Amino acid sequence: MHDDPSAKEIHCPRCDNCVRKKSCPLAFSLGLAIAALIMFIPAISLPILTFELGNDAQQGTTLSALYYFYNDGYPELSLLVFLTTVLAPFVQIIISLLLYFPLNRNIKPKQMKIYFKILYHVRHWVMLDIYVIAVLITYIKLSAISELLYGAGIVMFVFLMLFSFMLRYCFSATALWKAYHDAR
Amino acid sequence: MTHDDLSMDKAFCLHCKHLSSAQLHICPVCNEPLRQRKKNSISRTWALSLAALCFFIPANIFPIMKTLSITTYENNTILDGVFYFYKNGEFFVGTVVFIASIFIPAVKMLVLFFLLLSVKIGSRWRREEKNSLYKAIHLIGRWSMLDIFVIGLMVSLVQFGEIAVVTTGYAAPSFAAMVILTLLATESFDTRLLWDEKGKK
Ligand SMILES: [Zn+2]
Repeated sequence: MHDDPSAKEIHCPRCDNCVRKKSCPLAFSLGLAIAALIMFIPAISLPILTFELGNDAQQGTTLSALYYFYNDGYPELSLLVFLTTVLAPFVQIIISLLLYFPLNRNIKPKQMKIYFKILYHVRHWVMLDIYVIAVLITYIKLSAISELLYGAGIVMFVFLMLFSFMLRYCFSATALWKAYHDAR
Repeated sequence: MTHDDLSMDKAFCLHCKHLSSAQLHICPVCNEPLRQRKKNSISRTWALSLAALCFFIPANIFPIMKTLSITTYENNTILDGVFYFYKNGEFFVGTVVFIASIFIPAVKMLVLFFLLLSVKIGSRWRREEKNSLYKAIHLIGRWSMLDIFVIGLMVSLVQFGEIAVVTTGYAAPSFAAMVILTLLATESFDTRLLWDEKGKK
């Protein structure tokens, strides 16, 4: 516990699972969280795809997908999509900010135990990467029928996905707790 | 002679990855409850994967998406969607949808049942390979959510009054339930059980 956890990775000799993970510098994770936060609002509210049929056009945003699921009488699906593409990424970003910002300045976050627990569990529910592939598949499916246009939302979404993915990749329980116990 | 956490009376905290004495009930680093194995791992995994299996059948035989236009009314199951891509020459996309929606959930449940049975009989056969199987389903399992997102996008994009409308089919909640249940089932299985001597705690 007293050696430097960021120095080396340790894998279990029996099952090869990662027992101690290398960490990115805390300042890097903090930067990722800030970048992801900036991308968040435009990514979920700007149109992702625009479908044109005749003289009519329909814009699709992440929020409109939630609305139509709800309107179709499937509030549970609406909730599931909301959880995996909006709420979980948002919580991941906010909690990362609350953890990395004080730790980066060598201050103990007050609610470390709760923040860590939330971040530990929320990681599994962030499904932005799958959502981006779903956009691609929908594009291929609908472009066979009529004209389809990319919206600015998808560009923002790809960036949000990349930052969120790197945030998850950089997450190291050992390094976080080491930084916490070392902080004032 | 084994040198594992059980025989050394140690407990590894899955939250903060700290190894402590098994006599402690709370992890000294992160204050989470400390256990040598995940709580009720076997019975939870059984319950969740059997529940997922129950939803697998309605998810595949009932329509997951309805298409309404001036000339046609179509009720599409997951397999219809796959065939649609193949008919239109989109082999790559068809295969991606097939793998994500049918192949991955089915393989996940089969692997979980296989692992549960090998723990039950205390089999020592190819434990490393079984562990790799678990890692594989843990990694790819999330991708089953793909179809839910595709339906959500289709439904929100194709809304043209009487000309063409896409709506959700009633298999969709079953499909979503199956995906979530297999995710939770995978999460509750503890691979360390594969190495534990039968009869020990
Ligand atoms: Zn712990």
